[in-house]
Amino acid sequence: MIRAQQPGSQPIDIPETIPNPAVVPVQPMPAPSRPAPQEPVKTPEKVPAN
Amino acid sequence: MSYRYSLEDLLALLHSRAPTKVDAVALHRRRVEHGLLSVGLKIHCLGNGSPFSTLVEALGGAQKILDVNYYKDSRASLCLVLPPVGSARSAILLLECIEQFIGSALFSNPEIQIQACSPGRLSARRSALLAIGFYLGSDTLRRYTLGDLTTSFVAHPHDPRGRRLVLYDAEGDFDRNFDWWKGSDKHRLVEPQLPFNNGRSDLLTGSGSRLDIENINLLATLLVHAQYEGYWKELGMQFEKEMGTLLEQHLLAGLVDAPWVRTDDAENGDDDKFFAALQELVAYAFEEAVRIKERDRFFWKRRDIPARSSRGILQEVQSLLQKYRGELVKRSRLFDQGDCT
Repeated sequence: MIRAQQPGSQPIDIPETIPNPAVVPVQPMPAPSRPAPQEPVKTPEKVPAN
Repeated sequence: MSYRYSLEDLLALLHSRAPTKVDAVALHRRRVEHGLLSVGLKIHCLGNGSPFSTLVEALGGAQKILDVNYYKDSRASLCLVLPPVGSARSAILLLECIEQFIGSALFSNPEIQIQACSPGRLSARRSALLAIGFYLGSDTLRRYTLGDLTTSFVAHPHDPRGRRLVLYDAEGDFDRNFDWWKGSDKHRLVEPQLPFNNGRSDLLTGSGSRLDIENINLLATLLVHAQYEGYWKELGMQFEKEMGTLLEQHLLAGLVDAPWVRTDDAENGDDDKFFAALQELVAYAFEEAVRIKERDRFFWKRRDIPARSSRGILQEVQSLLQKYRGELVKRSRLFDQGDCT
């Protein structure tokens, strides 16, 4: 925090950081529930019905 | 980049606390997205460094992991250099894994200063555009002192870097093994290596955010491709032009002539010239932020906001970044679908 003061005036606090009001907060991307498979998931072969 | 451990060692260690994210990083470590540049990170810890002690010890100890790296923020107790990864997404995930391991926040933490590293040394003018674009596009507007930008390489005998937002590398280790897109339009060629043997443009974000890492990655990609004739050269040059026009409209065009990066040129060595330009930018952005807040308080319904010729520099830079991110992704996907026209 930087303090600025002119003679005869109340000192004001100038913050070192402020949020950028032009940036709309974005919900964080959900983490993947599991890592992407390296190979396509194999489908079971059809088994002839009895 | 000086680090004496492998990403595999680091991931093996982090796996116990963040298995899913670690698996995602391990799987996509070298995957480049849409031809964007690879991303390196340095974490400067301004506190006593205790949250990192277990991690550092497990990787081989401070002597091996930290002391080998002479470079750091002059206020920092340690600077942890992370191995580069193929995308901003992987870089963010890697930081999240470390957060979970050390039990302490890395993003938007005033005790943590994040340095985002991009391959390729940008020219002085393009370094200025990188820094200005980062600053105005960030989710946090910061005030700086020159002390905030002081590193152990300020007056290094061989590689003096001065006190700047953008810093060149000191010709250390460099990992070239990331895809580089070249060609243009329908003729895209993917090289398995970056087109330079060495060289980086780093940005000291301060307490950085996820958005900062994504923005710096986008900006650096556009500017590096414009400079090194990459696939995104045309888009990068168009961005430079639009950014220049935007700064002109706000009477800030002269800022890009300041020495935002310390090059070998002796005329570039004046920290005060750079800092005067940075302060002008900061003052303009803070004033604009106050104006937006006042306007939003007065016109609390968005439809009441009167039409203006300019929406203000902060919103214009957001739009510019969104436009170029969208355009890059769109063109990349069109090409992948074989429908590039």
